[in-house]
Amino acid sequence: MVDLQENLNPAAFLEEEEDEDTQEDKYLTFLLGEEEYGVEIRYVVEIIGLQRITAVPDMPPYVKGVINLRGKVIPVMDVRLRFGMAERFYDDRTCIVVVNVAEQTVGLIVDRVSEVLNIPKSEIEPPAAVRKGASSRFVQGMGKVGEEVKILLNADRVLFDEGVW
Amino acid sequence: MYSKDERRELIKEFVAEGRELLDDIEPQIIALEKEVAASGRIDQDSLNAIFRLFHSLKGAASFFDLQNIIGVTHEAETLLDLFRKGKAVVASEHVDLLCRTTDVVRGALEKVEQEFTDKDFEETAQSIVNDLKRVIESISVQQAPAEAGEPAPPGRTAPAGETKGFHGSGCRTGDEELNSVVTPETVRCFTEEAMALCDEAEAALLSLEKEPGNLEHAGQAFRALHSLKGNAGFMGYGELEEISHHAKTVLDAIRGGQKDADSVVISFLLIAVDSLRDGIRQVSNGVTVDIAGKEELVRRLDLLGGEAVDDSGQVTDEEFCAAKESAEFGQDRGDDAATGKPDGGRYDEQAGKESVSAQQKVQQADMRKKQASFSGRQQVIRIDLNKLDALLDLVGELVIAEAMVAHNPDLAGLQLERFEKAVLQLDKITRDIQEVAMSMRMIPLAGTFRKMVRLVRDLAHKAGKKVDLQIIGEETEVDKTIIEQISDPLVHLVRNAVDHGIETPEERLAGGKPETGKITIEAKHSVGEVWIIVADDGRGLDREKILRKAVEKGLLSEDRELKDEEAWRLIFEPGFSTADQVSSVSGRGVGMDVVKRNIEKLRGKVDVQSRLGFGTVFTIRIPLTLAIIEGMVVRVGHNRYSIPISSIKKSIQPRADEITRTPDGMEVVRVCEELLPVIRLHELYRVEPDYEHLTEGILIIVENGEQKYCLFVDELVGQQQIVIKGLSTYLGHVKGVSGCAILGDGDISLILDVADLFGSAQSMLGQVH
Repeated sequence: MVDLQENLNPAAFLEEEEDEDTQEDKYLTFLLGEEEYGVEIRYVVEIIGLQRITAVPDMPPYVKGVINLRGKVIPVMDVRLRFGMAERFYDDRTCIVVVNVAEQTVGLIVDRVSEVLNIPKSEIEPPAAVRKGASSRFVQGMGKVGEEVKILLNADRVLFDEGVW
Repeated sequence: MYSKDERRELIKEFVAEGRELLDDIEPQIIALEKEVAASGRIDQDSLNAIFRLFHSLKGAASFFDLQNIIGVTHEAETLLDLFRKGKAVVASEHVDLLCRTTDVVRGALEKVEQEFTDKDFEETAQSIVNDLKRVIESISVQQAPAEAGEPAPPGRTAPAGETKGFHGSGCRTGDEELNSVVTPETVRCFTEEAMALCDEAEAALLSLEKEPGNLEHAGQAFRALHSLKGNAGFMGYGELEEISHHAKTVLDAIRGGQKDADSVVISFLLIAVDSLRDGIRQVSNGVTVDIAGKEELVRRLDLLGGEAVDDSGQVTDEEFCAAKESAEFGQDRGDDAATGKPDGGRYDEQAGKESVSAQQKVQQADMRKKQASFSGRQQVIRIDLNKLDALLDLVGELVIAEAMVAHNPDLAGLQLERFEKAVLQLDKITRDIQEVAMSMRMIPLAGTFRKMVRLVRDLAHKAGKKVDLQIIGEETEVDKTIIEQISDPLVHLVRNAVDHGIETPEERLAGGKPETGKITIEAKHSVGEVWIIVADDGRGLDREKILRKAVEKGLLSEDRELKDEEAWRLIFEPGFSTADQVSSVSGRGVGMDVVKRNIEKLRGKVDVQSRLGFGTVFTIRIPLTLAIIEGMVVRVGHNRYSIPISSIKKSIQPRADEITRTPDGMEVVRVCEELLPVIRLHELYRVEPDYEHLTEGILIIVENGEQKYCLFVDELVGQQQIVIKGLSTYLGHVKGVSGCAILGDGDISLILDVADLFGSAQSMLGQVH
């Protein structure tokens, strides 16, 4: 478990492993409600605590606004709202996971960050097609870690898919 | 000779220079055609100028052994030479061919830039070479029989050496022609570079004197003078070109081992370098180049270089005389050598004796030398653009940091007189730094404008129209970003002007207008903005046609009455075109849309004025500084917004009796006999305000072009410089917002776009009510 009050650098999770190859199969996991989600580590730029958000008008509800990340202005998205889940008040464990996908840097607001996990491809199953749930198009697979199952997200779709849920 | 990296660096410079040369050649070729059409005769000076440009290009290309470019430029030279010799009259087909030649060379340069060679370009090069050869042949065949009996026309009796043209007095008049094209900026670059080359040559010569056997020094001096010759030739300074050419020839002989580098030779070469410096100083002082004792110097240099043989290999009358004189002088020199006198002093004496006027000239030159001793120093350095951009970014950060200090929340409520003073000082310096940094990115519009010359010509030909293009204010400097963004809109506007604006000659004559249409492109600065105006005297915009099309496309309901300005604005709608037929150049209705979008990217505006039958004027207005503006920060509830000061008229606190509420919920405030609509920012952006009542908060009267209205906010926070940052592209276009700024306390404020805000207010408020 990591100290969430601090700004965390994903490199710290990775220790000396820095190059792209070793990032394979690694996922940053975070919590939304009861479920644990994972996003490929190669997309993650950094993890920061909650910041003051400036609202931007005329945006879909899940785009909460923009934050000032050391002089860079980046938009932030509430992942709960993006997945059609109930809104929740931000607290001191709320984190912003800054990701960079297709040259766009976006902050993802999550309930709390858990850890970096190694999930080999053999342990990943395709998303369950049984229930066409609201957010299943954002899921790229289900990762089995011991007894637990992590929902692995398709970062590209989370950011750019504009279809309705 | 050069390492691989050095060679690449040199080639890159060559490509950049080559492009500049081409940019210069094109308008001149087209000007040539016009002159012929106007007066029916070839202007010798312009021809010389074009010839020189091709020649410089060829020279530079041969330095890098770029065979295809050499081949093409060589044929172009040959063709031009025929014109110069009066063997043919420049016809429009020739101009087309020369234009195509420049295109081919341009293509080759592009290849060279990427691959550092012009190989694989043989086919294209060969085809244009063949075309050129065909024309050259046909001219020669036509002229051959006639020439024999025909006496040379007056003015063409100059010795053969002169027609070669890069030296000799024939260049003199050419200088003036070319000078009109050369900007003060290029002159400055030339003089600085030339001075550096002189220094280089001098240093090499002095080393050579110390080590006469080391021919590498001779090579170095040779290269410096060779570059100088090329530059001088390009700039049209015949005298400088001539001297460096002759000095170069001597060095070539030394380099090749045919000549010993004794102190006599070195002294002469040093004198030549000094003369070159004098000449360069004259150039930088804007005086006509007039080097004292030039003929004498050249003659002696020729003698030193071996024999007085011209490039063409033909000994001319003049040179024959010169050689004879030099022979006598040679004896003198022999005596000097025998007595061991330093030859330089001897030479000066002789030159002085030659004529009193020459001596006066020397004195004058000395005086100028003293005056120019400062201006001749190096004043320009080349900077990597990335470094400049990094500096500009830092200046932006500095402005933010300054605001963070000056508007620090910790200072709230404190009375700090000395601190305030220090902050004021800091503010002033920051602004100065910003201004200087901005000015470093400023480039004249000349390059962009000159490309239009070719465009207009080609389009006019294609459409069978006669168009005269006038360019005003090409020296106007604008930010590099503007140059990059303005090119496309300008092309579209000019295209439209030729294709839709200007009528065919028949139509024009029938309409009582001169046969040749006129297009003017003008640039000027005007209070913090640069204005670019494209005007034509063509048929003008057809209001009825535009309205009809707009109704057809469903952009407009039939019964709406539009002001002219509103009607003209319709032409910027995507896909809007009034052209009855889609031609190869325009009519698809994408052009004006692009114009508007590109200009808006620069936070600029386009205005249209037009009168049916009289023409159309497009005025593009772009703010000079793109990144930092003066803004008013306002507060609504917890949110702060910035409004560009340039769009704020004033701010008021209205009295209750000045406010009127219309039945449809619209609020109107009477200000100085004007009734202005009110937009409540909190309603628009759905934030919780401090005040609901108009009399409690502040009304900011904003104006943008045609619209004038009031913005209702809680409070004015203060005026400050704001650094514009783009709102993430992830968000796309946000209605009523042009970007954002980071405030002193690190918070972000959205920058309001007053014009866009008014437009989107209707739709956004519509959702609320």
